Amino acid sequence: MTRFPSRSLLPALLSAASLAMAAGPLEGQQLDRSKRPDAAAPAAVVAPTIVKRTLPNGLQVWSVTRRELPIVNALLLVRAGSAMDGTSAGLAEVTAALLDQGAGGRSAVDFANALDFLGANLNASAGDEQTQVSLLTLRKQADSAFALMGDMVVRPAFADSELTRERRTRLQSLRSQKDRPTIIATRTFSRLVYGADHPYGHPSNGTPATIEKLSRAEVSAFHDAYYRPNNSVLIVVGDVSAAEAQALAARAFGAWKPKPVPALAAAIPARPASHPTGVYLVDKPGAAQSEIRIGHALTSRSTTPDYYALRVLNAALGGAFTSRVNLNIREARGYTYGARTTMTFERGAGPFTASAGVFTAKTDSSLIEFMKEIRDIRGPRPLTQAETDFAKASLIRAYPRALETNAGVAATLADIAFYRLPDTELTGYLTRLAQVKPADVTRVAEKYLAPDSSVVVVVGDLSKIQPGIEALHLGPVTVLDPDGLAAK
Amino acid sequence: MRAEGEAAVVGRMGRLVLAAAACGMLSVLPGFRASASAQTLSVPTDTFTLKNGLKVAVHEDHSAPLVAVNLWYHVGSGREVAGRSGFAHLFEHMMFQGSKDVDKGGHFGVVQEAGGTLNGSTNSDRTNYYEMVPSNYLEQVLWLESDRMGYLLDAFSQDKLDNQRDVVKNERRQNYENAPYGLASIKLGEMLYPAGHPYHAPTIGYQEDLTAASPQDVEGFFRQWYVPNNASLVIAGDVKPAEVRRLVTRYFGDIPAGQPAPAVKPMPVTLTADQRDVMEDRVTLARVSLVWPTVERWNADEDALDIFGSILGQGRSSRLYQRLVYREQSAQTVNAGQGSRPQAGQFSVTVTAREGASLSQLEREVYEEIARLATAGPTPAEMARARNGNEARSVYQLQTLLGKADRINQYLTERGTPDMFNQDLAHYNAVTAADVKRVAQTYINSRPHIILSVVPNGHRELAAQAPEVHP
Repeated sequence: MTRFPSRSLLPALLSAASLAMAAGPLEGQQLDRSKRPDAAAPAAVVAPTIVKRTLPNGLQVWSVTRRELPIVNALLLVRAGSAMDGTSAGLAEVTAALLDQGAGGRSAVDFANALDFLGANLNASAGDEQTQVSLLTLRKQADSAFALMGDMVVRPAFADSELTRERRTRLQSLRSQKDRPTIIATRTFSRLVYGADHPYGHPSNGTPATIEKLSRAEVSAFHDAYYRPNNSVLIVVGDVSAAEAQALAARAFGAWKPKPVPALAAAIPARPASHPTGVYLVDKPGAAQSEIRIGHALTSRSTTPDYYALRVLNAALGGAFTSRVNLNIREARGYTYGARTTMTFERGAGPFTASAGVFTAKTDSSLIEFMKEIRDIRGPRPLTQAETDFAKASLIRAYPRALETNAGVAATLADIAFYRLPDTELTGYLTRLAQVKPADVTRVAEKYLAPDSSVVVVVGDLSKIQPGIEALHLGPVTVLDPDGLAAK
Repeated sequence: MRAEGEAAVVGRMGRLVLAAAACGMLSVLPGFRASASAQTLSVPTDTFTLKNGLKVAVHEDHSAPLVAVNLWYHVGSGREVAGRSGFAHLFEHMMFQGSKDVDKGGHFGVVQEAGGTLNGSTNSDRTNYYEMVPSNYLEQVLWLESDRMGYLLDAFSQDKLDNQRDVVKNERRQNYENAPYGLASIKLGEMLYPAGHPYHAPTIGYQEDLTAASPQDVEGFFRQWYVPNNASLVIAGDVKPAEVRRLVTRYFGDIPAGQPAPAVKPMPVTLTADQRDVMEDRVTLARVSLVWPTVERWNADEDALDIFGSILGQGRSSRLYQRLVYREQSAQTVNAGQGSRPQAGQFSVTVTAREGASLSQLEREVYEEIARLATAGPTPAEMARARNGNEARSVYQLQTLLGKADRINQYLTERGTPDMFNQDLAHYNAVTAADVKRVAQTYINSRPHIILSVVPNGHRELAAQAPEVHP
């Protein structure tokens, strides 16, 4: 058994120099509202204490005891995701969705009834590179809830009738998702940034063609290949001792058989080729807003040394309400309900995306402001010391909030497990963030943000917005079909 | 197995203490297996009222160095005057535009610099504002909240109003006009509640009313509703009640009281006949919503209606899911449930059809399932699932300080006492299968209701049709 403590003290990071650690104002003293009150000294940063063990079948079991509520959370991370779909787009998602549609000798209906009797929440969802099965249960139902979790992961039935039902449901969802401009915009953006052949380029929920022909043999083979104890980590957080967590894990997952996993699970997808900025339009006649996506592939979380500077960059550019793009496009100009940028980090190069739903009449104006903000932060208007300090403080001081719930602790540990980071990173990232300087942010902005090789997608009423967008000369303009797939 | 209740107390020194240590030995988790006993929940608070009428409740929880601040103003869209729909929510946006001593954007700035989170929300009955920050920033948050409660108008400008009017209009476009089925929820409120009823107009408002909102409206609304004697403040987390009392008194004590707000009374509605309507929308799948007027929140029948809804159409173990989605595969999604607000309540069933399935047929099948449940009543297994699910959710809602604080504020506002957690749970557990049958017959089965179909543009023929009546 390895026991990882710990408690590290970072008061210097947590109180900015400008905020003295003075006591609050004294009773009876005249209140001066014009001055923001000082903050008291921050509490010490306490990392969760993780107990790690490995079952005989190779399943790593990490547990954290938290006694505040009589509940237990469990998160099983399996290194299997849409990036391993191959030519069967949707395979990882369908596999995850079928896990509880009959398992461990129970039919789909019996499984649902048994789960609801416990009042437990149990869900499986597939991402690009990992599938997470997560459980929330009252402690008093933990035995039964873990048993159901084990059944769905280790002993799913994958009955033909359930696959047929799942396919029909998904085909209807695929047909109706074109009603949602947000989904059309996001799917089109991913496909254009990565290309359909890249592991991140196909839609994770598949296409009508791939879902139509998905077979039980494929689903079963995917499960057989990747859902293995030696390819997974189980994280248990809540009102259980480490010994209880191990016993629950052993009962639910002890019979799971290990097997060597295909190399694909370890392969890091290559960065896609970049192209000069192009504009792609999807017509939505009568739409009240235009959905905008701007961006490109960024960089690999697993290999970049610039992760922390990029986190600060995104917080300042578009990751928070107080970021530049939102203060400009929403709070100064009123073009949108919210404008943002996101940096999605994965083992391969995840996307950088600037996005908003904007008033139809302000579509071109919004594109101008987005492009200006992305260009400006790379040099013409670099991040100031004050902006850098603000962004860092907002990220560093959010630490206790991220760990408020069992689920928050489990998600944080899952990140450590997925990227195989040392446990010291649980608090070590605070130090790394604190070391980021304005020049670092400018450097990574210049290096990674690529306004001249971006994909720009706009879904809206083209009769009203196309001339204005073309006049911006951002790049060649292509009008796509209503599904955002082929050129019209 | 244990016979007595598994008493749990949300304690002063930690989030929750199991009051009795249990020791059975048969399972992995000793003493907890197969326990049929209910939780006993308690979330203790200290309460006090300032001289200006501001009600305050403090809940101590030292399990993490965090504090949640949750402030309710007892005004929502239900109090709006004719021609100014959406104003309570637009006003909420103005509360983030700075006040006498806080710059525009300052609320977000201070809280985000502290690593915290914040927001506000408006519904038909109240407007809430909340922050969660590391507990050493409590005083800064109280400074922010008190400054805008006392001195919002000092920093008001026409530009700020115009800017947030545009933002809110975009919120409406994004969440209602540009979202499939988005306008149906507005239509349902208009159909169920007559003009003049507090719940007739949508909280987001109508575009023309948002356009009409003036600086005089902002000033009038602030003076009428945003007064300490029309607000309640809950602070939950890593704090000491005496210190909280000192700080709250310091920051809020000098804000003058205003005119007392008139009390809110239930205004139930009834229908004398079914009302049927059709909307066209940019959707692929047709949908039908059935809505019955029922009972307001805290009515004795509320929990029985909630259980009826859960058995009828919530989740994969529900009857409508298993018949329409799972077995017949004629529906893509189904949902049913009681929605209660302080002045009125409604019971809704929403079915989204697969292409080719008939909305009229789906509507008939919903009535069949309602009649079956109302006539024979729920099975013991169904009652157990509903109770167990509710018990679990009652505990799960205590996971976050913000969640606890908002629920405490709801209890304080609507029941006058902050710790109703256990009574709430006990009331739900006391509902019998016979109660569920009775409320289904009293309010739902064969009772007049709204039927609204949403169909793809140009396809009104897909709407659910009234069944032929055979004498």
